[in-house]
This record gives sequence, C-alpha cells and structure tokens, in this order.
Amino acid sequence: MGVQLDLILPPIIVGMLIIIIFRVNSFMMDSSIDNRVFNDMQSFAETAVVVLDDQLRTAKLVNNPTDFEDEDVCSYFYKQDGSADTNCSDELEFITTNNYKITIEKDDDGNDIIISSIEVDSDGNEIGSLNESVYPLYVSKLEFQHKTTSSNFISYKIETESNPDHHVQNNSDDQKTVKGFAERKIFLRNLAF
Amino acid sequence: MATGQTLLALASIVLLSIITMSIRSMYVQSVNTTVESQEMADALNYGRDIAEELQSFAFGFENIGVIENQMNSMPGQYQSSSTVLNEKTSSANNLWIVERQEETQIGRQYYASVELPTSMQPLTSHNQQGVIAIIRIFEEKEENEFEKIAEYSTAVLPL
Repeated sequence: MGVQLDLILPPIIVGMLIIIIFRVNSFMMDSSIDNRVFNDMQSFAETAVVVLDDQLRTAKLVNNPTDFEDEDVCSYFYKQDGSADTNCSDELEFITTNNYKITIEKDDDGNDIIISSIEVDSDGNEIGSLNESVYPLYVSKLEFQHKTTSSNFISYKIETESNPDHHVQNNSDDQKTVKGFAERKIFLRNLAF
Repeated sequence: MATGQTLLALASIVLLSIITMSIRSMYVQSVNTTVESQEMADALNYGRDIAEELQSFAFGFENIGVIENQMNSMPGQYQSSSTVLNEKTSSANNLWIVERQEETQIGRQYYASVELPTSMQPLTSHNQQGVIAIIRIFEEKEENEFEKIAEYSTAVLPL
C-alpha cells in the first residue's frame, strides 16, 4: 500500500506545533503564578514581622522565661559553627507597659498568628476579659529566641508557606508550595530601662 | 534529500533550539529575580537588627565615646576598621565591621559596616544631640570580594 507522506506529514507538524504552543503558554502561566504566590508569601512574612515588632515594643517583662532555657533547642537559630542554637520557644508571653499580658503563638490547626491580650494587676493576676486577634498570614513556622546573655533582645523568625491550591498543579501527586521567610531582632527598651 | 531540504531542516532545528533556550532563560531569570528579592529582604532585616543593637547603646549616651566603648567591648562582634569593605570612605568617620552570626535561609553570608560621626550632632529642631549611624550590608561573593546589598541609617538619641 503506498503511503502518501506529503499528505500525512503537514497535519502532524501542525499538530505538534499547536501542542508546543499550548505547553509553552501553560508553562509561562505556571511560572508567573508561582512568582506571584512567592511574592505574596514573602509579603505575608514581612507583614507578620512588622505586626510582632509593634506588639513587642511595649514589652516590659518576658512572662514565660522557663520556655527559653538552655535545653530548648532551636529549629531555626544556628550558632556560627553551624550547630543548633538554644533558648527558643514557639510561644511568647510578655507584660506590656500598660499592664496587659500578651501571648503570641501560631495556631496549631491553621496557619494564623494568634495574639491574645488580657489586663493584669501589679501582681500578674488577670483582671480583664480576654481579647484575641487572629492574623491569617499563612505562617507555617514561628520561633522566638530570648537568651539570658542578651536578655534585652528578642529575636524571632517567621516562615510562611503557600497552599497547594494556590498553584497550577499539573498532576495530583505534585503538591507544589513556595515559602517566604523573614526574621528580626528587637531591642526591648522598657525591659532594659 | 536535496541540499535545500537539508538546509530547511537544519534551520528549523536551530529555530526550535532558540525558542526552547529563550523559554528556559526566561524561567531562570524569574527564579533569579525571586532569589534577589529574598536577598534584599534579608539584608534589610539584618540592617534593622544592627540598628536595634545600636539603639541599645542609647542609655547613658552622653558623648560618642560611650557608643565607641560599647562597641569595643564586643570584640567578637564589632571589629574596628578603616575601610567599608569594598568602598572608600571618609577617614574622619569611625567604622566597625560586623559579621552576621549565621548564614541566611538562602545560604548567604552577610557582613555589615557601621559608620559613626566623630562627634554628636544636633538631630532635632530643639537642638537635641545624637548621632546618625550608617549601616551598610555586604555579601561576600568570593573570598575577600564584597558586594554592597543594602544601606540603612538610624538616628541614636540619648535616653
């Protein structure tokens, strides 16, 4: 049977070209969405850092010092020799200059930062009602470090992570996410004063 | 196959390669932009950390010597220097170099230089005296080759 190559080849070439064009478009869309989500995650991390920064400025006393002991190994903070640092906690509790007890922690179930505040008297007894603020900032990790050698400083690191639903997923096994990261060290004036 | 057909086939392969390479290059460029923006964010956050440390010297800050003594008392952190790593600077100003304690999350090692004036300056309209510190953040690209990533300045007023 004679094969008419002249008739078969052009439609195949055109078909392949159309597939290439669609794949290139899909790839570019995928890449631009990843970039956009990464920028969003980085912005969320920076925003979370600023939110905590403003809260911490009024701190006059760290209220959970036992959470920052030498045996509390950090998962994020490292020494210069590369080994894991210590005196870390995923929760911070402090008393403000206007006598509020503030607790900052990450929501265990979601990716939110929860800041709760309650008024306390001079002995630390709770006298007001609890006020809770939730910051939905896609925070996947939150860690504070408070060292006794530099007790007037608090360092903290925040990692944000996107949800796989934010991305173009080419197949169901591909659970792609991107992460943002920010850190800050705060000098606690009221604690030092 | 005739010479004309061979040349056409070769040209189509070259064209396809160019298209493929340009798509890859676009992708690499976008990843590079992402990493650079993370570098800049990390450098600025590090600059803020140094600014916070300088603010901690504001207690009992009566003259510039107080800050100098505080920085000299932390020899493991602040090293007195005469040049800003890769830049010429006015020799009238005091300089310190500090190495970041750990690498950043994307594996960069940062250094900072802190430049202070030799004397207190009026910083407010009420003639309140203080200093403006200039903090420059550098990355060590190769051994002893530093590239400036960011610059930050902070005013330290006595408390």
